[in-house]
Amino acid sequence: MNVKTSSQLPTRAASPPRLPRGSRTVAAVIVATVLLLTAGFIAWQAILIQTGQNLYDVNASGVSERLGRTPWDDPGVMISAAVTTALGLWLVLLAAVPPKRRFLQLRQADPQVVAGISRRHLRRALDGAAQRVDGVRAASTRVSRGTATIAVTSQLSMTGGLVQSVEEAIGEYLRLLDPIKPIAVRVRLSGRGRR
Amino acid sequence: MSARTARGNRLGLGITGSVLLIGGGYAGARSLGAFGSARSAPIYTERVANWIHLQQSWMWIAVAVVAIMVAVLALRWLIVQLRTERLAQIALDADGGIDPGNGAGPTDLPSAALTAAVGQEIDGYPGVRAVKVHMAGKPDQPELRVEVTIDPGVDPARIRARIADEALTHVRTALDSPRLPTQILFAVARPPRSVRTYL
Repeated sequence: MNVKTSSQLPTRAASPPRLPRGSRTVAAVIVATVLLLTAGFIAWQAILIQTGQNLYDVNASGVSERLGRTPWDDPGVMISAAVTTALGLWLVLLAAVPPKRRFLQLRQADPQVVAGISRRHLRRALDGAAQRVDGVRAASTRVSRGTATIAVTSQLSMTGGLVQSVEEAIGEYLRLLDPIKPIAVRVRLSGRGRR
Repeated sequence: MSARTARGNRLGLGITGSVLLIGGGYAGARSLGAFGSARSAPIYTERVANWIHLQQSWMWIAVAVVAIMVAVLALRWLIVQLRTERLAQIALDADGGIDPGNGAGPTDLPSAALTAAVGQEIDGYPGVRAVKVHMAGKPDQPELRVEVTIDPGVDPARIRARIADEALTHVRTALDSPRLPTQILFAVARPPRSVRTYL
């Protein structure tokens, strides 16, 4: 007889942890607030009508009379319809398209551990790595689509080899950071710092 | 922000967007003469007005009920934005390990005791400027979340290795559980104002 006791049951497969992603909070708060106010107002007016009280906020007969005079092909109706459709499409896309990744995943030997760094802090780290190179006065990094572009200015009059030194320093820092998706490095020596 | 809230946001935005898309699309189609109706016909016809007048006994109650339901859902949607994934207690079984839910008489361990110890340990590593630790997940399936701010000049690989090899090993030993999914987020401290060297 083959009876599985609880100790023989396979432990639930450990789902690997994931890096946090954007959760559309701003859009959700705006839409929920507008919905709350609109639905609350409609409920209040419907209750007033049902209880036979005066509608002192909305002139209902005025609204219905105006709608009775407005044809479907009125420019106002068309514009409202277009705006509503566009807004609806935007919200549907916002829900359907995965939010942008905020963190770059770093390689980690332990499958139970996920490590990441945000783009902002990666920029800051690479700025610092470039600034520690002798002869660099200032550095500013941009990271987009797998490429880090570092613009450096120097106080040196002879800047030969500086770009290569910065490239090496950045390359070394990235090697230590070890992102899963490799990051290409481009260094530009800005003319402003040259003398 | 918990994963549940993120899913809820997606659902709420999708439903609201679909309703607007369908409503706006219908009005736009009528404006362009779709559905075989006259484009110059008024939006609010006599027939509709009469129908509403005839249904007066129940229609406004129905409108109010639906509107209140939508308002309550919207209010709940707003409130859940404040929900965090922080876990206050970890369920331990009688042996002191993480209780896998087999009813062996769990006791609860406040997660603050554990996170404080981990935070203190990581904070002591050279090159670590600040560290924040909390637990997330479910009491029987806790997950560790670490946010560590390192100095700009230090080797990130070494700190990462120390966290994984030392701090996490200690927590797993303390929990008597080999399984503890962990998320480590790195931040880099602002570099000191650069000292200019003129040659």
